[in-house]
Amino acid sequence: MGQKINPLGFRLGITQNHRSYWFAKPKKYSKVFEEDKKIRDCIELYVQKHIKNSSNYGGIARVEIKRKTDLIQVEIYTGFPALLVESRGQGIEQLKLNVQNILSSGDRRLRMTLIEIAKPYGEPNILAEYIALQLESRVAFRRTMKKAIELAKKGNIKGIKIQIAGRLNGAEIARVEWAREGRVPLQTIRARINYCYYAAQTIYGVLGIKVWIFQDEE
Amino acid sequence: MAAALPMKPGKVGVEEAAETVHRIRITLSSKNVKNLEKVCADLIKGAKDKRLKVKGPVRMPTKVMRITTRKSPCGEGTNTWDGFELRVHKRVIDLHSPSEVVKQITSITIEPGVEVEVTIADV
Repeated sequence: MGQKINPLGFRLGITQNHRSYWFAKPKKYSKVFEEDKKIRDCIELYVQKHIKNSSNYGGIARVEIKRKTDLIQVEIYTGFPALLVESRGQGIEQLKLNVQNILSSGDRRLRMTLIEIAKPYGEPNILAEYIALQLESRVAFRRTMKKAIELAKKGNIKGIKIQIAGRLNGAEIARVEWAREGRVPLQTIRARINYCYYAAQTIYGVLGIKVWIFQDEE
Repeated sequence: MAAALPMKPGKVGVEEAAETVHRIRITLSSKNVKNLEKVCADLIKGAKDKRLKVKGPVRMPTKVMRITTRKSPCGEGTNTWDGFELRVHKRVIDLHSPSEVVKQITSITIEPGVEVEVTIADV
């Protein structure tokens, strides 16, 4: 038995696209990378402040950043766009302004788009957030896992695996529990597997949630 | 706009520069060969449509930047190494054309992930 490689990184050339797609020469690479991180952090902060509360979760599956010379394209894939588009008619103007303030030089245009995902619970990020919310409200973990699998099965997925690690149900001794439905072939590169790790903060500590969703084969 | 620039004797010269032909070198770099070749082909097609003299895409040798790190966070275990690499592909296209036409062409074909650099070497 050994360690498992992150299935996203494993499939980067095939069946998985880069989430940041740009080119920069080695001298400027670190600066552009830092900027990417700042954009993502800003979006995460905005979602945390405005949307997340005890009964709601952010619903952002992923953020893709593409750069061309003088244009930065940020695409936010979300399962619940209505949450991000708060006031009528304003859309994501506030978020766009926040991100623009962070970007250092203003001579680059920023284009931010919201893309809605058809079946939100088919994305591991959104599913993991849902599980975390349940665990933080002290729902029994096994029931949460089963409910999450049921939610995911509504979309057309071929397999799902959920692993929760930590002080389950507040026990003193931490352990790892996982539930699987269908098949999740991690060794098959042409299998389109989406993966997410999310940490749930409970009063007993941190519960690590890992979700693998096998969508289809190539 | 030409009327509002008092101290620009070169303004007339700029008008004339539309006729003078410059040697222009376009350097395209990218990590991704397919996008790079596509942008190359688009640029050359655009230039040939305007009937400019084009020196076809010269493919520079690929630069491979390798980073080799231990997989282990501690020193224990068999010494397994990760070999990450970043491949930079570079193409060079030479044109003989006035600079405005070049700006037109380069503004049309831009793909994400391809860096375009234009240098003008005055003849």
